[in-house]
Amino acid sequence: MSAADLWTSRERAALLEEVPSGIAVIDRGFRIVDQNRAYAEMFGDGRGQHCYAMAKGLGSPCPACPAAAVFGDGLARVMEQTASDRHGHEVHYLAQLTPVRTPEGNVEFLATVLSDLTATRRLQREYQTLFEKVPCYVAVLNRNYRVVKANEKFREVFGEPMGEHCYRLFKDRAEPCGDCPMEKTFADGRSHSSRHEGVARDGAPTHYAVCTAPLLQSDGSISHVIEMALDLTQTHHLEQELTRAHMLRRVVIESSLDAILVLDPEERIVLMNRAAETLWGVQRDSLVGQPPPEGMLPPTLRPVIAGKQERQLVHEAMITAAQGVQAPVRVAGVSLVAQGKREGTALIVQDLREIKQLEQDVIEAERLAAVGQTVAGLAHGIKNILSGIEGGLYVTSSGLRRGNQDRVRQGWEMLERNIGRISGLARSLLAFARGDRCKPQPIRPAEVVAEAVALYADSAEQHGIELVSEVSGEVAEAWMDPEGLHSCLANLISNAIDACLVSSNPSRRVVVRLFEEGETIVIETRDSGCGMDYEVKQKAFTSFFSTKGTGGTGLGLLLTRKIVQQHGGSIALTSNQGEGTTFRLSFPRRRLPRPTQERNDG
Amino acid sequence: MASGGEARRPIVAIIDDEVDITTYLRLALEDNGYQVVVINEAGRALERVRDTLPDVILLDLLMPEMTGASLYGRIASDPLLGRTPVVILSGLEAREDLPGLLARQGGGRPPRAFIDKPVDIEEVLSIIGSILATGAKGDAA
Repeated sequence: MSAADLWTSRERAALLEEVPSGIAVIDRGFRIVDQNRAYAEMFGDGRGQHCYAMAKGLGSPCPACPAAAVFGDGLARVMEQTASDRHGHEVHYLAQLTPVRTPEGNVEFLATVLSDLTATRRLQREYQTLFEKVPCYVAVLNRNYRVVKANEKFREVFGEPMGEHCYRLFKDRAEPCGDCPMEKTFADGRSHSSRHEGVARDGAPTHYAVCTAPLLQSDGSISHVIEMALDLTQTHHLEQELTRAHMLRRVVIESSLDAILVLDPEERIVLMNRAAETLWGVQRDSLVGQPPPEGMLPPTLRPVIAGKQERQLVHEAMITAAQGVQAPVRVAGVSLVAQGKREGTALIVQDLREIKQLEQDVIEAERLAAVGQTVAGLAHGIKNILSGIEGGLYVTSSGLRRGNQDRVRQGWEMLERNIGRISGLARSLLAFARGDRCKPQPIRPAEVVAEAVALYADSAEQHGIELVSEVSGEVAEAWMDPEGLHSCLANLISNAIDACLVSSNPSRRVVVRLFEEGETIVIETRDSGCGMDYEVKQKAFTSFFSTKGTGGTGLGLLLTRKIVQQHGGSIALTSNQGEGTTFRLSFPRRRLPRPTQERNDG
Repeated sequence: MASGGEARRPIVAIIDDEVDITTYLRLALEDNGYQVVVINEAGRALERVRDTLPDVILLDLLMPEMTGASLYGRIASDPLLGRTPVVILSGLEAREDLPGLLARQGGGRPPRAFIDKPVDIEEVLSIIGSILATGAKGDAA
């Protein structure tokens, strides 16, 4: 038997049976006369049944039945159809209706071949959804730069695109852009990507990254290019903000007049600014990555550098600055923590040398002003003595003229007394000039206050004056001249007692207070004495001005002020006539005299 | 003005705590025919001056308890003494605003004259002489 003989009708029937497309043969009465397995799997066994009942569940032929048309004109037809399968699920298929002719040429049957499109359709729908809903702009473009298809997000941002030029839609241009990835893809058939800035339909600038891909025809030629653009507008803004913040940080840090140093958690230098280079006289390149050399930072900063303290302020400390010079600095240290993780320490170091120099200049200027006032006061004192001498001369000479011995003696006494005043004045001046030296040492201010109060305790008690000292809190050790401070207090307490003595106020009380207020040591003497009026207050610090007649040299307050000024402090008085007087000595710690260089600050 | 026999001798009150100066001025003025009242304490000065009702007051500016400036204010605004001419004795020539300050203290009534220390007795006599010659009414000028 030949191979062709082997290909019997049985084999043909078996082939028909196994073909993966549903095949049914229908007669002119629309009854299914035969069907294969694939058809049975779709619609069940339909042999002897009407096709419209099987596929559509209808009781009569479908309106515009294609089978009827085929039977009518004998021409094959192809169409897409939707029906319900035997499980009631919707199926999509391509139906090919082919007339089966008798030898006489009559069409008694037709074969319907169904290609199942359900899976294809589902995929199509999925792709469509993906195309529409993907969070980027997707457009299909032809060679003429026209958009033939665009997704929802594209339409939302750039407007209705159909038939429009892409360059107009994306960038509101009248002609193609220079660097066009679509052109390149049409040219070389490959994907291209680039970043662009466009204009949304509301006019807002839009930043996006474009990726193109060719859509190929069956012959391999490119029919269209699909363009996918990812919106980077938000990212672009963030990038810009980041760049701006970074630039700002750089400028601020670089142009700061204070030295700025950043250490990592391993205590190595990661950042130094220009002021830091100047302060320490180093190049940052040589130190970045290294731990700070010995003496570069005050040892008291340990807690913040070691991360044991969140922030730390060292008011004044000595460090080794450029050229090995010891320099006073103020340092603020902040522990850097990001998202709970320690990133290191930032240190802001202020060079105090210039400020210290200015303060010294101010103290010197104040001292010179005091010298000026001293000279003015001296002139005033001398005038008073001169008046007395002139008076003495007048009285003596007029006594001599008249032979009045009593008057001569009286004049002579005046002369003697005023010459004596000159000696006293000279002595006071010498004492004032001698006390020029301020010898600071670490003292406890409370002890000096206690000593001065003790010195006048007896005298106050004898005069029925209550003398008390009030020390608030702990006033730490300070570099001061104990003798100088003692002189000041002795002077103020003695003045206060005198003021109480001439006062008519029945309550006679002198209070000496010591306290510290914001790094300033304050000592006050407050009396309930006679007080001063405007004129006396104006003249209180004038040398040789005394309200005690011959009992005062007029130098006490001046000397007190001089000592206070040598300590960088200030003296203030408040007084109301008849109510008493308060002297307040303020000594800011940062202005206290410094023991030269080897001061170990904390 | 020299002593004129039966004529009443003008009274000058000197208010100053410097004893030597008051002694000097007292003797010099008495030598020139004036009656002198010396007041060394500012505290009781107003009372004493009111008792005396002098023709001229010489007032020192710097004294304990009350300074000459506030005492001047009280004298100038006193109903009995308000028209009495006051001459200020002062070593405070550095204060250019002194006349203004005193005028304010005196309720707009300035002192009649200022004499700087150390005092020149001829200047004192000449000023007092001219004040008395113009008469107390002159202070209205």
